Amino acid sequence: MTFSDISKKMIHFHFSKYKLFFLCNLFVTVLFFCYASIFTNHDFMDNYFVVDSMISSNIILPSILSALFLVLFLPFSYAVFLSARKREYGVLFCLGMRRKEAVRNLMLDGLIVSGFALIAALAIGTVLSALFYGFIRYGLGIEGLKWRFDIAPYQITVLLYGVTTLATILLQGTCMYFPQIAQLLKTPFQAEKKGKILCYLERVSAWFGKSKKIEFSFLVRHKRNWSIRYVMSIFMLTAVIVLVGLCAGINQSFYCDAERYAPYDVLYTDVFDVNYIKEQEVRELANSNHVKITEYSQLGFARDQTFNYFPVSLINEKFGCEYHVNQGQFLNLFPYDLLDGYSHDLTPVSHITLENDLELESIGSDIRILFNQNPTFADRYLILNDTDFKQLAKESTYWSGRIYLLQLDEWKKSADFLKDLQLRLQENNNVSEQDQQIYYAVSSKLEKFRKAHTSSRFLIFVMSYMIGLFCFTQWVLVHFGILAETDEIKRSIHSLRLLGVTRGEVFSYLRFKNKFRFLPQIAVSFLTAQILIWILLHKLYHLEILGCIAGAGVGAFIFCLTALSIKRYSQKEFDRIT
Amino acid sequence: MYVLKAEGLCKSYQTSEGILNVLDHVCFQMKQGEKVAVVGPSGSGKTTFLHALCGIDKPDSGMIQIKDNILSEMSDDELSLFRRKHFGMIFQDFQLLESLNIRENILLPLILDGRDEGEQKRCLQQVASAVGIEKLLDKGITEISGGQKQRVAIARAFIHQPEIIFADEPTGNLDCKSTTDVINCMTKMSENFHTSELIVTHDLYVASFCDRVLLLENGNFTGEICREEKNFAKKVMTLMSV
Repeated sequence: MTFSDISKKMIHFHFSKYKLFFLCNLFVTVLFFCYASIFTNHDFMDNYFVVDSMISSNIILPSILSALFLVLFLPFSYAVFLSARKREYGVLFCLGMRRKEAVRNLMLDGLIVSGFALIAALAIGTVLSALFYGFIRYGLGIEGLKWRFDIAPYQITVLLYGVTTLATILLQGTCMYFPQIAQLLKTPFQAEKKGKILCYLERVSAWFGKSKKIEFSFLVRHKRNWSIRYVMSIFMLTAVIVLVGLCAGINQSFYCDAERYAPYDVLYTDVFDVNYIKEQEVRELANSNHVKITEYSQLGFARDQTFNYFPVSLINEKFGCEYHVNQGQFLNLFPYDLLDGYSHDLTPVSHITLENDLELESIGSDIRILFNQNPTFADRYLILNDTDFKQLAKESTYWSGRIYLLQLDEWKKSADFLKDLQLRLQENNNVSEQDQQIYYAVSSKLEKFRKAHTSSRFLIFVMSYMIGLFCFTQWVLVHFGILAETDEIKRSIHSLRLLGVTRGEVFSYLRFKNKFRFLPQIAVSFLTAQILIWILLHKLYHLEILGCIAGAGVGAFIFCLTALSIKRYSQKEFDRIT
Repeated sequence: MYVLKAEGLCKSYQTSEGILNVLDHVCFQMKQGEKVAVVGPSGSGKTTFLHALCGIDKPDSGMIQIKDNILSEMSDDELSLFRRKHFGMIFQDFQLLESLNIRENILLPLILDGRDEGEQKRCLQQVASAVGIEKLLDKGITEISGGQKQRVAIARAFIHQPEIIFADEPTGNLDCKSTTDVINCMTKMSENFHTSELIVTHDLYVASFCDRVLLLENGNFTGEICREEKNFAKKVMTLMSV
């Protein structure tokens, strides 16, 4: 018999632990791969015409969380895997096994299991990400997005997983070099102190006339392992509550955005008479689609590569502003809402020189959304004196045109009208559909709200996926922690029964212990998450209260559900032990 | 000729009430083939002393010499190899591996030492018959009683014919019948292999089988009785009642 025969038997004996380690690795890697397959897709992230940036930006937070989850969870699962074998190696060291032999064995074990887990995760992840894409395309209606084989998500997953696994195995595997052998032999039965927090809680419970010495004694087991579990649980539950709060806040912000950035029901432009359509024709199109135009107005503008130029009198008249811009001056206008949650460059231009060598000085800036955004517009808006604007409009180097602003009686029913209007403009322009979309698209409130709706559904989908997995993992963490201490609990309960403790009392002890195992992390996460939600949503249309309420709701729901299921769970544990 | 010699052994632990000196400049010698029992109240440092001598725990200071080798001068690898060849260990909680059956547990020291199958078979037969577990060899660890487990642990400790056996409360978990069996087994084996034994115990019966009994109290030896002394058993009883 050789040591490799013995090793095989040990692996066979610990197969369930290997399986658990394998499944943990598989689970977190598949999760990350699904997100990686989306955020590495250029069509999804960068192609505005396939997926709106409002939608694609929703993938960033869950992707970061899934990466963080992978980085934290892999070392944890390996630590659990290792701790199960520490005593065994302690005995082998006593019998003369060399530390480097043990470290080599452990590292080899870890690398082989991790390697298989990675291969399986990439295979399962490929299938799951195709389903993910299918759901996004057909379930959420983002039709331009197609699944195709791309090496990038594989590379990024292998890189993140590889670095984390190698670092974990190297750092934790070498832990066998350091502890005294006597320490390893004691591992499963090590007595632990109660610690300050438990002592304090025990005293508090005594003040209320209920000394719970026996109950607290059940909590003084594997304090370090449980500390790690509590930290992991707090991370995941905080993430769950924050995600729900953010989801509620961001979801609402999509509609606020749509409302704020689309003050007109329809907007389109013509430049040098391209994209032009007569008013009468527009009204006929509206009538034929059972929509009534309640307001039809137009506004002259000019633009170059960088700026849109507007005459001050028209702006004042149309939008009720009171801007005073003299000849030789201009006003910077930033068409944003600073509460939209995006960062905006608000650096004003101080001085410009027009083509005819006309020098203009800035008189300051204002932040105001006048009309809908449209691809025809340049990034920056300047308001000029009427005389300067006329001079500028004459120059052939500037594109001059008109903005058409329409209000409808029922914008929600304007889908067919918008489609016909877009088609008519495209026919008039004699350009391809894509060119029409890029240069001459019609902006509308309906389209903005539709995007908000799709963004909202996509956000809820990716967040729900993450939230579900986090809740499940937190439950698994605690459940397996409790299972791991069953043997010791069994011994203690047997002793207590011999001392005359009744079955009912044993059940109440278990229930008390399980309350402490499941509930404190929810309470801590609840408070932490509320602060985070407040900070994150404060600058997003002041939606922090909505986010906090949603977060509080889900926190309370998780707390109540857990509290209710503790009785059932304790009953099962009681049956298992007795 | 001393097979084991310790001088000025110190070991302390940090506790919530301050530093606790478990071993305070302890000196000790053991001759070839001698059986020494270390007795003392709970928490007196007996196990720490034994762990320090067999190299599975490091003393804070002091020197341990086994034959011509000084443990503190050995590297971890050298110490492992030394333990593999020269030491046998028996624990109160047996420390058998549940993943292996009884045969494999007993053979572990030889397997780690890379001995061939023929030698493994011969040594196994010898120790298994000496401790009376020939019929249990293919059973699992969970299938046998505490007394049988300790006999397996004894077989494992003796199979490679070490020079020193370190036993930490070998009968601590056993009933009277099993204690007698285990002591008989250990006596028989040590006579067969001419092995020295250092036994940490609470058990008067176990101590009475040894050539020398030492009392460890407050971090140092405060009493010693040798078998050659008159009224050895009575003196041991008095010593252990302290």
